[in-house]
Formats: sequence, C-alpha cells, structure tokens
Amino acid sequence: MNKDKDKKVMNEVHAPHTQGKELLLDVKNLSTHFFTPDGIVKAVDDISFVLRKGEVLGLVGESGCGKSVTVMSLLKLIPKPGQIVSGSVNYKGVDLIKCNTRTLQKIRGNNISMIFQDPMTSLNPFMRISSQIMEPLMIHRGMKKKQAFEKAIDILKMVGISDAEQRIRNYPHEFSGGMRQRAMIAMALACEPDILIADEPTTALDVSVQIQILETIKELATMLGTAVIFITHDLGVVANMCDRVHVMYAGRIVEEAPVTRLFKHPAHPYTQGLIDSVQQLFDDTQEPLRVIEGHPPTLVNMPDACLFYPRCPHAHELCTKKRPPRVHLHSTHMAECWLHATHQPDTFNTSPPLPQQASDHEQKE
Amino acid sequence: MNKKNNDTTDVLLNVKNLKVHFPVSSRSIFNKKRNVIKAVDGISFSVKKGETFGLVGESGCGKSTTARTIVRLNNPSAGNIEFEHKDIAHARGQELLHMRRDVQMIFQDPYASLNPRMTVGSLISEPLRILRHYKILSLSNAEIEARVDRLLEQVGLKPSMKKRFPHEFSGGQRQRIGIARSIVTYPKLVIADEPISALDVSVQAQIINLMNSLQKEFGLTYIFIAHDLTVVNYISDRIAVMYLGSIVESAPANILNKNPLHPYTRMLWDAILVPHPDSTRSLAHANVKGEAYETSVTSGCPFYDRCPLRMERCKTQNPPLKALDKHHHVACWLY
Repeated sequence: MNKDKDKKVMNEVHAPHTQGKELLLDVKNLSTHFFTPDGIVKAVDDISFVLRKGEVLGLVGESGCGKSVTVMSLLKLIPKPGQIVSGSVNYKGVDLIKCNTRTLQKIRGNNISMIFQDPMTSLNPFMRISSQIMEPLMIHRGMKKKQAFEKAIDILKMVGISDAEQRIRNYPHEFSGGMRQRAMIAMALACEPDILIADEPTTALDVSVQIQILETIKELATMLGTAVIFITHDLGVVANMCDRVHVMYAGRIVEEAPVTRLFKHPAHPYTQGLIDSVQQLFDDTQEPLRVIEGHPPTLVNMPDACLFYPRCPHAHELCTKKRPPRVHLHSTHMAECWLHATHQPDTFNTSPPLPQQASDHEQKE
Repeated sequence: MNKKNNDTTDVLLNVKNLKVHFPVSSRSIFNKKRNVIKAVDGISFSVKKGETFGLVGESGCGKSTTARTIVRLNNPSAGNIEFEHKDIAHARGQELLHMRRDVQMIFQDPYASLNPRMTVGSLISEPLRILRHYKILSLSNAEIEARVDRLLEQVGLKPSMKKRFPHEFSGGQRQRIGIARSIVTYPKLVIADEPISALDVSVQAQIINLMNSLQKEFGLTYIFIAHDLTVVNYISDRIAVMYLGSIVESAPANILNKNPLHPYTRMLWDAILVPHPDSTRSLAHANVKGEAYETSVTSGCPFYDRCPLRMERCKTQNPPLKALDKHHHVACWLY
C-alpha cells in the first residue's frame, strides 16, 4: 500500500536512531490528572517511555493503575474532568499533546490506531462490518467505495475470518466474540499504522479464543512492521507477547525491563509479588498462596511518597516520606524503589522497618 | 492444591442426567415455532463431602446455568439433583428453604451482587433473617449480630465495618462480604461462580487463600466455577470440563493436568499462557482453533467442528461419557 500524502508529511522529520531501531514514540514526563469533587486524582503521574519500530511494549498493571489513561493521553482522548497537565508525546517530530485537532485526526486511526477491550461496545451496532472497516480507508486513504470494499475483504481474510466475502455484509451482533475482535483488529490495521495500541484486547474473551487473537496480532504486527503497545493485567500474556515491559502501579511506572529480565530478576517488590502470585499456581504445593497484602490505593490526594509502601514487605520509614528515585540497575532495567538506590539517605539503613500493617481492613479507614 | 481423594467419603451432591432447556420463540409473529436452547443437556456428576469440585469451560458452555439450577434459581427441565440423598430438583416451599440454608452461592461480580442501599451488617445477616421469618431457624437478634461479627472477622474484615455501605469497600473487600453472606447460614455446599475473575490480580490470591481456610474451618464443600484454568487446577480436587452443555471429561485435578484425554481438554490446556518467557509452550505451538459456537452437527459429537482428531463416526453418533478407570471419565470415540 502506498503511503499517502499525510503520512509523507509525518515522515519528513526523521527520528533519531537509538539502539539500532528507529524511535517511533517518545513520551516524556506525561501527567494526566482528573479534577474531581473529591480531589485531584493523579491517574498518570510523570510517566516517560519510548517505543521503537517493530517492538511489542507491554504496559502491565491492575485495574485503576492508569494504563488505559496513559494510552488515551497519547491520542488526547481524555474526557473531562481529566486533563493532561504536563509532558510531551513526540511522534516523528510532532508533539501530539501540543498539536492541533486536525493534525491529530490525521494521525488517529491512520498512523496510530487502537483496539479496545470489549469488541461489542466498541463496534457500531448499526453499521455493517464492511462500512466500519471501509471508513478509515476512505477517510485516510481517499479510496473510492468499491476499492475500499475490496481492500476490506482482503483485510478480513488477513485477520483470519473465513468466508470473508459473505461475512463482511454482517452486522456486529452476527459475529461471535472472537470474530468481533478480529474485525476490530481489521479496522485498526486497515491503514497499516506505525503504532497499534491494544488495550486489553483479549480480557473479554475465552482462553481458547484469546490465544488465537494474540497469535493474529503478533503475526500481523510482524508482517506489517507495526509497533504495538500492549496493555494487559495478565502476566501470562505478557510473557508470551511482549519484548519490553513497563509495570505500572498507582499511576506510575515502577519498573521497566526486557521481558526475560523482568521475569528472572524482578527488582521492585510489587513486580516480585505479582510474578510470584501467578507463577506459584503452577507449582504442586499444599501451602497457602503467598500474597501481596492489602489492595491498590484510590489515588485521591496521594502523598508524594512511594505509593506501594503500605503493601510492601520491605517498607522503611523513608518510603513513607519521600518518592523513590528511578534507579537504573542495567542499561535497560529501571526500578523506582529505595531498595536499589545507591545514594540512600543515611536514615534508610538506620531506620527500623515498618511493621506489616497493610492488611485489607486497615487501608480504607 | 490437590487434597487426597478419599473414596469412602460420602457423596453430598449427586446430579443425574440434568437438562436445562430454555424456550426461545422465533422471530416471526406468524410462525410461532418454539426453538429450544439446550444450555445444559444431560449432565451427571457427583460431589463428595469436603472436596472442591471444579467446573470449567468456555463462556456459554452451561457451567453457570448448572450452578444456578443446583441452587434452584433456574428450574431443571429434566433429571435429578440429589442433595444428601434427597431430590431437590422439584423442592418447593419449606423444603426449598431448608435446602437453601445448606446450599449457598458466591457470585462473580461483587459490585453487582451487593445491594448498594443496605449496610454490610444487614447484607450479611439477611439470609438469617429470612430463614428466621420462615421459622427455619430460631435465632435472637443478639445471636444474629454475634454471628455477623464473628464472620466479619473470619473473612478478614472488622466488626466495626458493619454500619458501612458496599461502595466504601474495594473489590476484594466486597468479595469478602459476599463470601461472609454466603456462609452465614453455615451451609454444607457453597457454589462459587467465578468468584475471583472480577478482582485485581494481586487480590485474587488473597481470596483463594480465604476460601481454602474457610473450607477447613467450616468443613465446606465447594463447586468452583471458572474459566481461568490455572486457578481451577490449583484449588480443585476434581475437575469436570464442559462443552456446549455436556461434560466431556472429568478426573481428579492432578490426573487431568498430567494426562488430559479429550481433544477439547487438550485444546484448553494448550491455551494456558504460562507466565514465564522461556516456557516451552509458546503461542505458535498451541493448536487451538475455532470458538464454541453453535455446532453444525445435530446428532453427533458437539465438538466435531473444532476437533483435530475427528472421525466419520463422530459426525453421526454422540459419544457417551465413558469411565476409563475409577476416576477418569471421558466422552470421546477415541477411547
């Protein structure tokens, strides 16, 4: 498929080459806050990351940790009372936060597209599958109806829908859950985007369908050279899909590492607990499961400290008072935790560990 | 957690050839042909005292319908449900209330299953107050209060939280309330329908531990329904795999894990994503196809369309659930 005019404009500014691969997206100090009557919710708090060409980047975390808000912020899809309060998102020389709506509309769905969690609520029930896949082709590629229709059939075949010529005339309700998600992928990949954002694309699906959808995404991303930002809470999915992983907790990236390193040497106590809690299910054990006590915080008016400390087995006095630094354990491995800080203030080692006080009931007092 | 299988223990629940069919009227108002959805189509299984019986399958396979029918939130179309050797499939009135005291349910979504206008205390005590109203139990207010307090502590909450409303709690805490509510009548059988799938990953293990410790304390028997196979494997003693309304394989968890026989079970086990980047199983090697959808075969094996090992025979004849040995049952012509 030929790149159209808009895409050429985007390509004029060449991104710097780092570590052999082209930098596609450079997110710096992004913060998105929600100004609610109860107080400021820092859903995304000072997040920085990069995405390189052709890689699959995982954003992992529990519900409410800000992973969806992060990717919504990238495309400026934040509803009120949310607001992107600071930061920049550099895509091929264009700052997506500062640029105007028209430029953004040319990028959304064309250069950067998105798959959502629940395919039934994100497909339009009144439109045939054909029109929904044709729409981005006609808008971004300026295709005529007939041409777009043929292209749409090709794409549907590509995402693994058999009998595409017939099924393309169906409405979403006539599709099964897996097929709907395939149709979503077809829509997202129609314009061969540089970046595909997949927001929990398999959470609503059965395990047997999940694995097929993951295969499809991975296969097509490799084929088209698309970089993927993959959001999930499932570490099994992460281990099988992602090249690099960012672990989020309470609106912050607490650890980032290549996938193998993350699973072998998790550095942040939260990551350690999370990986342990899912891996132990595969052991033949009679023991009670090891758990992370407590539950994630609510994010309203949070203090400027480590937000994991109430649940952390290694919590010290310092963790309650000061936000931990980003410690680089390796050129590709970062953890935001006092445990690994080389220049710990003197108080760290001398202060006694906090008693374990994070049982479920004490948190919400 | 695989507990010892003890053959001598009593059977608590015995389900025989249970069928649950839902009539659906056709679209046209002129042609009043009644179609029937066979949500559960002739399943049989038994649950022993003190064990955890896992029920797995894809969405739409009838596992929730089975659960709801056992507590009689649905009525069975045919078949027997024997609880403590008494048929409860057609229990009514007092008999039904007695049964409900002994058979309780934990629901999936703790945000939807707790009435937002009731305090935690009244939510947990409600089953007791209903049973008292119908004179099944005779408890004083003080006794009920005391039992609620004790239960709140047992599920890891505080008695002082009684006056609060559900919205003041996190997902994990709400599920604890749901669990307290389900065991307040001291039931014998608790049916947990996807009790942890709506919870955060880091909270799931807490609830599993809680359910295990309560099982020991109260001598509970669980039917644990989930689509997350790793969790079911961990918690169950025996597992039954359902596909489109019938049980295709059942076996003790450790046997099923090591030696899944039915092609569908193998497919499900293949689809487990191991949370380890070096795991030997990978996406590309998994041999998983298709979706549980309406099958094109009317008289044959429901899995025919997706089966990698199908034979001519499978198209016309539905394989019965056959006992390979004392513990392992499978419905497939291969065996």
